[in-house]
Amino acid sequence: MIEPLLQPFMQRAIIAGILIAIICPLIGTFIVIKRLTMIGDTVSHIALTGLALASLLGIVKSIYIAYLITLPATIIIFTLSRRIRLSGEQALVVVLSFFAALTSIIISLGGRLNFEAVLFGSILFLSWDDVYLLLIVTIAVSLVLLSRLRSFLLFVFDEDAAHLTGQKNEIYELVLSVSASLVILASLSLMGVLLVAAMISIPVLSSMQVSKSFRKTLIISVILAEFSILAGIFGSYYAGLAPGGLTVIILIFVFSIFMILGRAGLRI
Amino acid sequence: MSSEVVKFDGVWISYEPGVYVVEDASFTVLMGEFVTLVGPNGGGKTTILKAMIGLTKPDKGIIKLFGKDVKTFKEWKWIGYVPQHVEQRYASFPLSVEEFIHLKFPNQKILREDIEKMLEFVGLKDVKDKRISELSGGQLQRLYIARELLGSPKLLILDEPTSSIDPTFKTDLYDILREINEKNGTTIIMSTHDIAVISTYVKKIVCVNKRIFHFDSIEELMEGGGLCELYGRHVHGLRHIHLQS
Repeated sequence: MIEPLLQPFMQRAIIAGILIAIICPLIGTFIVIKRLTMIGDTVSHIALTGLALASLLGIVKSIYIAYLITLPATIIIFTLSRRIRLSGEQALVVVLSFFAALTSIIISLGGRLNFEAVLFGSILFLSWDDVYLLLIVTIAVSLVLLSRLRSFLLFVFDEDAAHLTGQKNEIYELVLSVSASLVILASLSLMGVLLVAAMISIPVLSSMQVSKSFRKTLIISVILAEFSILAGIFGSYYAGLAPGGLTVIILIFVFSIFMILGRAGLRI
Repeated sequence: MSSEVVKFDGVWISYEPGVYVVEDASFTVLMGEFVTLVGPNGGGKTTILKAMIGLTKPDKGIIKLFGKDVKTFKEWKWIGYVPQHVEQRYASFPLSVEEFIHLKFPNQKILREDIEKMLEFVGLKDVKDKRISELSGGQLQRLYIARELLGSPKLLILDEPTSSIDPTFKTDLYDILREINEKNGTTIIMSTHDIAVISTYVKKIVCVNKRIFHFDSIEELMEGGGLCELYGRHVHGLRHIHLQS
């Protein structure tokens, strides 16, 4: 058990895993209530376009290009979807398809990606820079969400009631979508483009099966995410498997158990 | 404060260009009135109620709340709003009854004993430890009303508040509304299809079918045949019930 902790790449992965398991379910709780679970897939597909473009342009720090493209794109998606009265999910499906197609074109023009690492995440490619960035995003997004927890909850839960408290829903939507983008981008290195969305939604969906309140949903989803990601990281070390993939398999296993417990009437 | 709580002046509202769901609506609701909106489905009742509180924007015309243009109105704590079909909004999310109530008041402390008193008032004493997804549609509507009443609104807007409520609680609810209207002076505007029942409770009626068909006392509406004009057919039984009451 001690041996993996002595390996620098495992130290980075464990710290990153602990942070991801805090911030992904925290933002995920709001995303799931707002029925915007597609945002995980969409943002990670936009980031993929950024990574492909960076490789085409020969830029080494490709993740920064992903940030540069993803954040404005997210803001535009949400502004447009409100203006043209598309639901969040409908807008996300269109945008996801557009960016997936764009990535394909960029790659056909000569962009090169380490697909295994980008799509499914990697312990080996995780740098200390990635961990520091993740730490900053975790602290910043947690502070923003927790300082106005009730207002964010009211926004995702009931926009009409939020309007009647004088809350500016457009601002809450923007902050939430930018926060979600930051969390997804910061989690990409470890979890990969295809699996990061699972970390955002599955712990929340699992805890929703049994919890009696929002507060408990939040706490239980973080505990489940921590358990799954640490089991995934250690399991991948010993079994030589992809950490992102193993974590998601564990998450789904946990979800199945909680679904059975919920159907059996367990309430916490 | 203006004695005109709500004023619609030549309001037109559309969801698609050129297709108006509300045409040239003008009416005024005064402080302390208990007014109901009636009309067929799709006639614009919900749209009018939403526009009243800025949730839907008019294409033309002016909407005023407490004498101020709704676009610049800021005293939202004066308004209580119970939307339609509340049961469809909370299909699965685990929010406790108490959390649900506190949500409406992000910067305000609501005492637990006040919550318990209000839940008892609307007949929901036994559900305070449940999560809201476990409540029936009728219970959710009552919970919503309890939450809005806790804010002691000057204007309470209810969009078909009895659509999921069993008949026995309907009259209880209307009694509650009459009580807060008469005792607290709360202005109430409510849309409903329970025309026969509410005729004994409300004093004014707004008939809506894209246009405002009638806005006067119930007695005048009954005498003038406005209801038949509104629905485009005879409404059997209503006159009889009304005369009995």
